[in-house]
Amino acid sequence: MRIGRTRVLAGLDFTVAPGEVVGVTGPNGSGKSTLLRVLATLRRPAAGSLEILGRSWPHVSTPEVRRRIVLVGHDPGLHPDLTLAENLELVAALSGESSSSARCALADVGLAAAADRPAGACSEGMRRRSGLARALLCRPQLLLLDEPHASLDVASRPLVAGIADRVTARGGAVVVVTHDVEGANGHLDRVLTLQGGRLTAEARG
Amino acid sequence: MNGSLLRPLIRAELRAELRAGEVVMTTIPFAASGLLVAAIAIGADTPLLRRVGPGMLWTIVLLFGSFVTLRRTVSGEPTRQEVLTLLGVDPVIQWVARAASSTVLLLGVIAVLVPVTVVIYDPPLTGLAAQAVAAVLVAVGLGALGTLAADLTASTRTRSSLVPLIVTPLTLPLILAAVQVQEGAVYAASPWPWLLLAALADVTIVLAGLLAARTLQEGAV
Repeated sequence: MRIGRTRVLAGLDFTVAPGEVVGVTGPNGSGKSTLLRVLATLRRPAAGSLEILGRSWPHVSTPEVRRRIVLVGHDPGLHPDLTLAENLELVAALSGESSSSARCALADVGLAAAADRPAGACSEGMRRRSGLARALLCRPQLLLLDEPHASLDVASRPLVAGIADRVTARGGAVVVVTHDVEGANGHLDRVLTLQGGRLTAEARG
Repeated sequence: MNGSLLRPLIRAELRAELRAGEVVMTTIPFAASGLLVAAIAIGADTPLLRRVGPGMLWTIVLLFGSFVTLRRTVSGEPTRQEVLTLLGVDPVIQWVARAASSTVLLLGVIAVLVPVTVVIYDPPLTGLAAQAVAAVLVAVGLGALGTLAADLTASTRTRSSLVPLIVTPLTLPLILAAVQVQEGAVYAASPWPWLLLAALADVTIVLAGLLAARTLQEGAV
């Protein structure tokens, strides 16, 4: 995997099984977020083979596969002028869900009272939680979380594990990029450590 | 390509704009004051004002219209674009939604600026049906071209100046057609050749946008 002339990921070889929660850790710039974007089919690997949800590259970047993937990154992709509910209702409308399910998802992440607040007026933590609400709404088979605990208060942290549990209970898989392996360890089946774009360690969670 | 996804996207684009008020609170007042300032600069020469009024209107629509397509859109920002992509929304649908909402907003801008032009310049009000068709064609072409230019310049830091620079020369057939339709109404000439020119320009621009949408978005992947 290259960005410009820089090789970002190399020699990676791993499998995430259905029902598994895999943590990815490593120092800044080790390629963790890039790996998530490759798994989300949003970045094209320069070489190697990639199979996601039973489809091989390049047949993974189809709407059918992408609809089964949710990536919750640092920026949850909310329109700041729309309320949290309107943002989620748009997601619901585009994924064939009812608008009431959008409000239910917001309530599930503790944002019922803030549903009618413009996203631009919400705190970072609230926007993060609305990203998790999108994961609940879309019921993905592959959930990709990029440092999901960042900006979340201590009380909200169990939300992440709860959402991961829901995905794995349906036979889905979860990949979590985190710096807080100890905090998340009880919920991770395996932990991959990246360094300089290479997999340097793999441990049971 | 699933067309049923268009409606919620366009509704969200328009709702976001109404909430932000970029077009209503900034573009329209600024464009209206442009019409007024130009009239003041021309002076109290009523026949001349009547003569140049329609040209002024379309020049202002062209100059300020491209800024409508630069507003903060639901599907224009990279992260929101990625969310939509992972929801299975085709890049072509995303582009059509942006272009269509820009067209609706441009029609709103024109709908406000026409009465302002009538009050300030007092142009002859003849051939209104053909002029209404010309206005729709200008809005469609400008909306589509502005959206395409906004996508082409998405990753540049000079986007706000690049978009008008790209749009202005390419919309000349549209502006020429709109002005000539009005001139034709005054001199009882047929508007059809000019309307056809504008329609051809629209078809070309929309086709270019549709063909480029997927490449522009997937090219970043």
